[in-house]
Amino acid sequence: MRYFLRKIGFLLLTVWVAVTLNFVLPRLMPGNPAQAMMAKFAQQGPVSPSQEKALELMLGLPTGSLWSQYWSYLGNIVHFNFGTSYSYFPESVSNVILTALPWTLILVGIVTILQFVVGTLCGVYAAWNRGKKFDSTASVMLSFTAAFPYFWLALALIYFLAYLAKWFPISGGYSGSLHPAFQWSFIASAVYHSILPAITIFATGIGGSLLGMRNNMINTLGEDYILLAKAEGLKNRVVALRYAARNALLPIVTNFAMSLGLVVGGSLLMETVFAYPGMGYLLSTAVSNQDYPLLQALFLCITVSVLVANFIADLISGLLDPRLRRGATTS
Amino acid sequence: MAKNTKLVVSMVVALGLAGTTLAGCGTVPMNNTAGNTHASGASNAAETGAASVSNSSLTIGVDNGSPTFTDNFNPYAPSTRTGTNYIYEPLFFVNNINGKVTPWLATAYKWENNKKLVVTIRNGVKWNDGKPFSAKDVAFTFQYLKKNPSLDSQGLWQVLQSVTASGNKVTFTMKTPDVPVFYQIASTLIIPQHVWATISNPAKAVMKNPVGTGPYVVGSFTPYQYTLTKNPKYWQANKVQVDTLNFPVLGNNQTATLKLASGQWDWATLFLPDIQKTYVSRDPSTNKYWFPAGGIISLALNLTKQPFNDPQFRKALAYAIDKQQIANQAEDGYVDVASQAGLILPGQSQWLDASLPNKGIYPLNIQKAKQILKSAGYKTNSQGQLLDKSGKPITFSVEVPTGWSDWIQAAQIIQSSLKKIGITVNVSTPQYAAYSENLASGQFDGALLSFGGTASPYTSFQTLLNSSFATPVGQSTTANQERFKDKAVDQALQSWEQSTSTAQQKKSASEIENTMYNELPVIDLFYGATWSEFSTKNFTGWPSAKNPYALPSPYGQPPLMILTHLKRNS
Repeated sequence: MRYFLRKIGFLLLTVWVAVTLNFVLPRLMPGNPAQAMMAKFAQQGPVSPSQEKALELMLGLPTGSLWSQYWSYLGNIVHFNFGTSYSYFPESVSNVILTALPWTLILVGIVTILQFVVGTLCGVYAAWNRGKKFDSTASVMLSFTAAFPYFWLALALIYFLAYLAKWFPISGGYSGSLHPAFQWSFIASAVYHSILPAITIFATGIGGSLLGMRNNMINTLGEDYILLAKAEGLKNRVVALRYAARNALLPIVTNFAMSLGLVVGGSLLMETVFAYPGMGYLLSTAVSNQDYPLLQALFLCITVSVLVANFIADLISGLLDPRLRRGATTS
Repeated sequence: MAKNTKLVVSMVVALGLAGTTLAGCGTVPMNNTAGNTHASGASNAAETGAASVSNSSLTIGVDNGSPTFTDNFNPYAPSTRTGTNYIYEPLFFVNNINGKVTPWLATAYKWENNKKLVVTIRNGVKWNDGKPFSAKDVAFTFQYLKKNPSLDSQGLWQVLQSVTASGNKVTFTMKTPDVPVFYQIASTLIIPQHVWATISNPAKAVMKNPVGTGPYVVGSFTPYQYTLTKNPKYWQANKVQVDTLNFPVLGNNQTATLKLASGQWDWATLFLPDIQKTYVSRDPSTNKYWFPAGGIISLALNLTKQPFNDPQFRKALAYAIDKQQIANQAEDGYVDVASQAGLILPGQSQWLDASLPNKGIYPLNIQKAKQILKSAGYKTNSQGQLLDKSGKPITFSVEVPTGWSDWIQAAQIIQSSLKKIGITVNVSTPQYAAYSENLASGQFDGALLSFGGTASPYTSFQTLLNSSFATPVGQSTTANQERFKDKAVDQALQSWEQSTSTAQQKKSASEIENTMYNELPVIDLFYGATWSEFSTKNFTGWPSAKNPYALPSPYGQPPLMILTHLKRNS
């Protein structure tokens, strides 16, 4: 029990630190949102001096001392009130995030899970048959694709599959003639638009999980209990999955939990390249517009979900592996 | 590549802030090479929603969304849709290329004296909800800006005393004589009193079906595309031949380029490297472009510091910097070298003092630069470094916002140019916010700065040169950031401001141009382009260097003019 209490205490502390950093960091960036908006106007042509003043008035930039801002910020967080977004003015931050979140959760979430499952299984297979054909081709090829710059891969796929072959749309989350709704035509269009983004995230990410699992597995395969299991005459499948993979999986669970937590942050590059309406795009918009309210809310979502995912991973590892719990009480 | 970043970002902006930022002059002639049509892969059109379906529609790649559109056509919202500009109209259309004024919602204007402007309002105009438009709406619009200073992005009420309507006349009274303010009044978008009178928080109001007088109304809206359809009640409906406008989400630069090249869009505003190959060659008979100038990019030096405060030093720099190389390399040859007179030529040539040599352009002449420095008392040391008056080698940094890759390249060319006369230049690329703050507070050596592009050169000169803006270093200023001070220029600006006579205005203009040319408050480098690509497949009559009736941009107010000029191909 102590172990779990300690973990909860730690979770609360890290959340507080994250929330505070979240408040401080955007304010350390030079300039203010009105200036960031002026930057965009300035690129279209010279700007007049009165524009910036008018914008500052309109956005209603935060006033008062940092302390009072901090307290009202904490109060608002408790009430899930993140204010009005500057870059999506006059929409409220909560609305903006709620429209983006499902897109990211569904696409990036599914692809992350798929990638984990397929990568891990392939890793098991490669490790079991290490040195054989599959292992040598898959490991080499995937460590190669994992090192691809994401942007480059996405643009190459867009150029060949969408622009030249016209199999897929060039960008977007769904067809421009549709409204988001629970209708067959809309879902079909959304799925169709998500194929290229999904392929790109999958291709760049699978290498990591395959190689991670393969290496872990090779380590466990050298353990004595595997030798014993084999000597007992157990089936290869059973030895591979029940004995080796299960133990090799432990550190991977933590990694997986982390990456699930990060799903909430979206896939920034993917979403910018494909103009995909998810959290990653929001994040890049918020940063480039110095949209403090949106930035804070996004970082909060990301940090909290990573921390919670980590917490859950800790709990699961604790349940799976008694050594961890015992370690905690003795220390 | 990164050059594209700058340009795409620029399109994010929906220019609700009425036409203050546009300008121009024809520099790159439209390419008219005729060739055999070979249709480039026509479309994914259904998928992207690009409607090449009808030949009476135009698909315009300009509105970015982030990444999807929010349904808001409020002209005062900073993130309003670009289509808002096709719905609301100003009193006069001002062509920022040459300052030509075309009556729009108003039919005439008259200065009773230099503090009183009377504007006659057009009869028979209706709002798109059927209610009649009147002088009262005009007066209401300006009163509304007074009541809500956050909407007054042109600072009109710093000048205005009162605005009153009577019959079909609206009278503007100024606090002090200010004739050039006409251009700001002229381009203010007029809103209907019967809609806005009850809106108390205008910037936050969400307008899905805006009531305007303009040629289009909102048709359909989805997060990835909206359409505007022709307003049947439009007061010059007979001139509007495009029935539907489609605005798909722009997307990022690379994908936007592909969409334009594949013929999904009929009108776009993108920087394309080697446009002949990337765009025109896809369909040479219809794919056209015109990149007129929209501002002047200059090198601003901090005039409160040595040796920048020495006009001879600045003159030597003007001779030493290879401006043509900047135009060719940093801007792909799409722009021209700028005149030191501070005007955008040829658009503003009616203001140019004919006595200025070579239309005010400083030619590249390293020898002359060295000679000027020598006779001004600058020496070089044994390593060939130029020394300032205290004997230290001259080295300074030039600031350019990060990511503005064409400007960064320009600064690098300045660096290599000035090396030839023994000056070490460091190119520094802070975030825009830091760049803008350094300029505002005067804490910089050199920086690239854009100015100009206003209908009247007065407005540009006023913000660039008036010494009342030149605050001491450390105090923030939004104008005259190089901190130039000259009483004669201030006087010339004042007499221009107060004069309703063109001859008097021109006299002031040439005084200022001569100061620009001889004192070089900033060193003019090249003209910043307005990017515009368009297809003549279904519609012709686009603006061009030969017929520059408007800037060719799909944002701001030019679309009103352009869409009343386009003719359907028969």
